[in-house]
Amino acid sequence: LNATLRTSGVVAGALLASMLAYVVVVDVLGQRYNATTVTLTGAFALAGLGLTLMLGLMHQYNLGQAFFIGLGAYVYAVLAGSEHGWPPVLAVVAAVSASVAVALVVGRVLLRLDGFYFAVATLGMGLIGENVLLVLRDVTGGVDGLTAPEFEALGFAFDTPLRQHVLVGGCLAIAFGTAWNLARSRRGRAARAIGHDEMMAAANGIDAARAKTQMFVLSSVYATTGGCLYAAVSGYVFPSVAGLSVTLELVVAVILGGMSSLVGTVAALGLLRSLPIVFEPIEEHIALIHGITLVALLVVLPSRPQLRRWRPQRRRSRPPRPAATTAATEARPEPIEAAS
Amino acid sequence: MEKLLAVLLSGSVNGFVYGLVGLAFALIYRVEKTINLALGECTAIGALLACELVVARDVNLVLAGVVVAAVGAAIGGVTEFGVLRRMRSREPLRVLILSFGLALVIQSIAKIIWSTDLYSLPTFPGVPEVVRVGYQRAVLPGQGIWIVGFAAVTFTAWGVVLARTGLGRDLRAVSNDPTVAEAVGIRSSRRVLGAYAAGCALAALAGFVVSPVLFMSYQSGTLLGLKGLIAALVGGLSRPFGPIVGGLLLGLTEAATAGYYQADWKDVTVFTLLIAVLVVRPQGVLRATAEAR
Repeated sequence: LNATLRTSGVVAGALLASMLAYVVVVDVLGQRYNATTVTLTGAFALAGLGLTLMLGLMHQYNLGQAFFIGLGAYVYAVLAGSEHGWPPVLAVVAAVSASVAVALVVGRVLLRLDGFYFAVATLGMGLIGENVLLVLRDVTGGVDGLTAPEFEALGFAFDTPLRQHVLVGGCLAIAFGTAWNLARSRRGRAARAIGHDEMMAAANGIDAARAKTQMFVLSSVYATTGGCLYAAVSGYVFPSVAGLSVTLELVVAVILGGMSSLVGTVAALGLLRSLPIVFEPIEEHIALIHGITLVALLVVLPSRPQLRRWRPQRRRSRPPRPAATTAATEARPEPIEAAS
Repeated sequence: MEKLLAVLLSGSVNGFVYGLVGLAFALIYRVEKTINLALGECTAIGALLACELVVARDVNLVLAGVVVAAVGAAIGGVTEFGVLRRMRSREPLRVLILSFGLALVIQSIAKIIWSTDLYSLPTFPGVPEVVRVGYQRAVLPGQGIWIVGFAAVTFTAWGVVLARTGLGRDLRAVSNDPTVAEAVGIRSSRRVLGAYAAGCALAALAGFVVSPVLFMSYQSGTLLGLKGLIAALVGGLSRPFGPIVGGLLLGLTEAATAGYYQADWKDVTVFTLLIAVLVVRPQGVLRATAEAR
């Protein structure tokens, strides 16, 4: 019960924070700041959370995250669109199942490669995704993109900016709570162990291949959900949503946010997205800013940039179960590596 | 038959281009087992700079080539000496991600200088504008002769340097283990710097040579660079002639897709080829050398 309470607390907190961001941005910053921008940032933050689990915890450089955003956005737009006219809820379910299927197959195959080639292969996967969206004009509308209907469930339409934001904020809060819990669970510790040293994790009884595939699937489900929300909120989908620049933005956000910090990723993404709106002149040079940030961070940060150390859970009144102390999978607190 | 000839010819000309860019990747991979994704941007810089010099400033073609190579080398030098050497931990994977950032920076600078316009050079002197082959007179750009020639010279030189000279021996030693190479008296860090400078210069020159056949803008380098990378990976990054084999394979696949299916699908085919090769034979399609793995 304690854990349930804590998780609900985290979810509620995240929801509150997201609504606060909305109110601050829309009411304080005023007209220039389009309400949709905040909501869309929330949709991308979902994909960012997935990448934090994959890249931050497990140190698997997945450069194909945007592929799954594109998958979600397009499956939603095509199925829920006027041609097929599926109920939006079903379209989301279809998108998520499709992404699970794709991620299972792709993850099985690509995660066998070592980190370096995995990065290159997922990069290729992302490029395939964007190109297929461009080429399959009959279905995806090519460069022009598609219109997407707004989300509705049980006869309740999320059609005003505020309602849309509640939808995205709610999804984000639930996703955040799940990821938060996961990062602090046995699986989360296993993921950290794999990120630290895969061989050692395997020697300690962690099924690394399985754990990596599961995390890849979860991470892509996050991205797909983000993609569906993006489509539902913006009303349009374009091939560039599956493009390299989106993946890069997410990677920059994860690294800027402190690599394994969930709050950090969301905050960094918010910062990256709000900069060009607050300081209008730099909007044109956003790629330059992303590039400089990425270069500077990777030059400055040490090998395993974990700004916040992983703390073991505080001891509660209940004495620790003996199994927990003997289990070899309990990752020790990671020492912060000395800069070489 | 006619179509086959056209596909083969245009495919191999493109293949040589990809091979050249791929060699730039292989040069850097030779000294440090990583990939510098900013090389694609170097090709765009080379092409745009050459167009600026030759068309707008009326500079001699040879001189333009020298300037392009020098600027490319400077970019490589700054990359290695100014950025990578300052990293707190220089792991291949981190360099790969960092080079992504570098690519964005170079691309943005190119955008500031040359805006979003498309540039192209006239065909180099000494070859006809277009070459017509076969019964139906399939049209090929004459510049292809220059491209193939440049690639042939570069690859021969690379093969000779690597196999026959002291520098090549040093490079092979550094490739094996930089620390041990250092211990036997090879200045590893200089070889690494040199390889980055040479790789970026080569990429810039490749951009210069292909600019008469391709219209280049500030962002055309990305795709060209990726295809060069795929060529190098498909052929095998540690094989001296891997990039050219991979490049030809890539160019022919592309031309065949465009010729017999639909031109739109050629990029998808190429990226699929990359993933297939990575999964089935990560060391490239050529037989792995003892050194490679």
